[in-house]
Amino acid sequence: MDVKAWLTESFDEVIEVDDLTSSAAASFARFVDRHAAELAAVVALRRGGAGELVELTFRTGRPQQSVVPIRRTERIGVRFAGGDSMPFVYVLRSDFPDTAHQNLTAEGSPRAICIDDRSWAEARLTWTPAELVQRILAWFRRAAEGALHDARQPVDPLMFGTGYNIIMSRALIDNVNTQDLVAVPDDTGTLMRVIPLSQLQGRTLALPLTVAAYRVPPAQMVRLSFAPGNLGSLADLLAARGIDLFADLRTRLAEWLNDARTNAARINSCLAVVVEMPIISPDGIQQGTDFRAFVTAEKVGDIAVALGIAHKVESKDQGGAAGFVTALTAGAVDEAALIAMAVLPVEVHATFDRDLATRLAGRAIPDARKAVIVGGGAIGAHVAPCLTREGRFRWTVIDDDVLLPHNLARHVGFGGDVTRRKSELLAGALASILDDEDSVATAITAQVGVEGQQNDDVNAALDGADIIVDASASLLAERFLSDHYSKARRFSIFFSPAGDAAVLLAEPIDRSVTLRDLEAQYLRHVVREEGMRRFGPIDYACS
Amino acid sequence: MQALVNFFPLGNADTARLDLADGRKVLIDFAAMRCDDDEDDQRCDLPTTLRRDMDKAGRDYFDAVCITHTDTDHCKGFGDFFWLDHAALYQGKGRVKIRELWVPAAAILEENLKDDARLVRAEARYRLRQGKGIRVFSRPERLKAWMEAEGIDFESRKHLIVDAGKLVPGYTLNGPEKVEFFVHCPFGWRQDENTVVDRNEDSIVMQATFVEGGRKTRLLLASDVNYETLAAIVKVSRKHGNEDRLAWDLMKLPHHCSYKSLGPERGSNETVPDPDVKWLFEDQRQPGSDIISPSWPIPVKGSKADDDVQPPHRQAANYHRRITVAHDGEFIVTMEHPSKSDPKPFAYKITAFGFALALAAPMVAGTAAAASPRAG
Repeated sequence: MDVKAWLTESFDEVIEVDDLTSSAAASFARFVDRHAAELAAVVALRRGGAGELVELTFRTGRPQQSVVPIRRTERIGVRFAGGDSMPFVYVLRSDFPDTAHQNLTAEGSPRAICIDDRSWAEARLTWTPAELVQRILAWFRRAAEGALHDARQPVDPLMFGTGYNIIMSRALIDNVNTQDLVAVPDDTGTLMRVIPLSQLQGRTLALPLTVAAYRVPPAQMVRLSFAPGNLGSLADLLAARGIDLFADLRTRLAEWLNDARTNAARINSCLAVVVEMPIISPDGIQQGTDFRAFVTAEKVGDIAVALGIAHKVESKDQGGAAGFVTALTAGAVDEAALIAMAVLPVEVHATFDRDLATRLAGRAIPDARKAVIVGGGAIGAHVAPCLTREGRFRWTVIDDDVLLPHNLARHVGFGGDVTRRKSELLAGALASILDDEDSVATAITAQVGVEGQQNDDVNAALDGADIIVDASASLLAERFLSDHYSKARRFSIFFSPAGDAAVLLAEPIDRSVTLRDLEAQYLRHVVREEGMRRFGPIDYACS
Repeated sequence: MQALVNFFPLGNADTARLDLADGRKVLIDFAAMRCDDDEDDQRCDLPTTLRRDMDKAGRDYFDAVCITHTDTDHCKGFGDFFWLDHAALYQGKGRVKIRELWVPAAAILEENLKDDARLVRAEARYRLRQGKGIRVFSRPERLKAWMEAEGIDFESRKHLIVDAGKLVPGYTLNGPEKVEFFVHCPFGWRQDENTVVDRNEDSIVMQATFVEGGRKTRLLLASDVNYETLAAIVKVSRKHGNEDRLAWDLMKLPHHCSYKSLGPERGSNETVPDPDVKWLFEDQRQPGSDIISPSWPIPVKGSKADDDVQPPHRQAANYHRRITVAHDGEFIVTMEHPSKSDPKPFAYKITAFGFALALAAPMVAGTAAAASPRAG
């Protein structure tokens, strides 16, 4: 890329410091001049369509043997876009190395270093020119020492900078051809939730969206450096990763056009190309996978026309239920038309499913074991959701109680939940945490250890469980569970009578010590140890 | 703790402070050159700067102070700044103590010294008599006659004498200080032949080797020696197979960028180095190495300063600049950094990736650029 040409094109006017309209740009330029001569020198101030740019030479503090080829002095450009937004730091060198923690910039732009992973709304509260200088310096220092992978930072945020985000489940991405989708925007219009059309309720503003999903195999992965700006460059990007976008779209779109009546909504939707790609650090190690989406403004039908497989029909008389008809003989791909079709890079957030929950909890393997929790009261209603947020367990909640007003003091339920069965309330809460194809939680309304209609269900649940958690705060229930024929490992959790401590009794995996044994040991501690007295309901000291 | 090598803008004068990995501090020369009465004097106020660092470190002493030789530009202000054991006049509040004084034999033997040079000699002689707090850099036999004449027992002081080709005791790469000092000069070859002390050429030349993360960073401290002495050091080192003791990553340039430390002729645009000196500067430098010229700004061609016989010499600087840039290094003049109009002290950090210029954004707390202090 030609940095000079980019500078001239994006910031065509060279101005004086007094001409800067961005107060942040002006204070930054003045700060460098007055206070940071040891580090930097302002070379030029520019203005253009992309905002205002403070161009400067910057001493990087690079060590003698830098891990990546950073120079002792780099020329950088700090862009202050119009409005209130995060300053963007470009390194004005066409051969600046690809490293971790760079922002993904548009094609034809220089590389931009990611010096702050906070949102601007938060960062602006403490922003100063001095801090900006410090962050740039810290980035260069860490890059030069190969220490950009700060444990506090995501490995590779690769922020597109467009500000658009969509949220969709992995299940939808995996089954894009089976359902019509819509993107429902939030009130800002920048955050959209992608759901099946069938789930759209009421009169809601929604953007019909057709998703074409691709998965880049790790072996084919090349780190993304620049965000493609149109369908042509997106195809080039995917071609470099072993995916022939146009050939695949020609096949997919032709199938939909052949059954245009069924696929009318899809053909008239915008196209979102969702790419699942491995995240590769600069040292070549895969750090997980991530989704990127590229959304067109054009309809799928228009793209089919450009791909040479469809014609647009002007009126219904000409046929074509969707406003487009299949071309009788496939024509050539109109590359110029495809290049003219802009794509908007969009961040994709996968919904909170078991995999994501597991990863965020710092574990590698999902834990979908069956757990039965007996008691959906104060302690159970806190412990089970916490474990679920870690991606753990498929739950059965057993409780026969209902939520009463005084329960709200400790329970996770709300006022509107009063009179609901605690079993159903908690199971519903657990199911709503994880976006999982399989049922996350089911409820059995029953009292364990007491003869009743649900005995068979309780026994089956306990027998099929891998883990049984007694959260009943009932000795009767605990002893029943301890004695039950299920082979599952048991736990018991409860609060001290004063509510100022929590107790966990855990059987060993081989159940060589049972809950009954643990209860006896626990009570022994309560009776004999001064510090444990408050855990006992009776003052044994007098005996 | 990260080791630092600090330099100070003092005009044509030397001072380097080594902050070692274990917190010890070693000062190489002390030249308080600034005229306090002259507001326009851009040289650094060395006593104040060093005291500020002492206060920050919570100490009132240097572990070692090395006076490479007793020229004014290497020891000016010695008697005002330091606590001297030899006379109560130089003891008092605010004076900085010296745990170990390092001097060349010349600083003990030379007669007719004045001012601070005389005080360095008096202090060195006193400490040698006391048998502690001193290292004399010399061939031991050279001091023997003088010590006998002074009635000082040679044998019991012998361990205080460090000969060329040896390491300064008390500093090892494996210790917490992570540094060793190899002595190149004054060396026996000169001392055997010399009957008259030549202060510059009998000064202390050392290679300080730091280690961090398994990587060595070598600093060559070449005092004020001329090209003939440098060439002799090269010859002796090669003869003993000690070439690696002349490898360097950082070079404190000898004699303030004088052409005389490169070769016999100044040259019109660029000094041509003596072949042995060329080998030292070009073959022994490590990739990305820096040269520090402790000097006034390099004169512009045709300027009055350019005609001066005194260093810095533009022709020598041209040579150093050319080869430094060619080796991805930097040639830093103490009175030009960061700018001629406002020179400031600067430091190199010793890292596992070699040295790095220590830089910090002004007016920002160290933690400001860390992650958000709150999570929720």
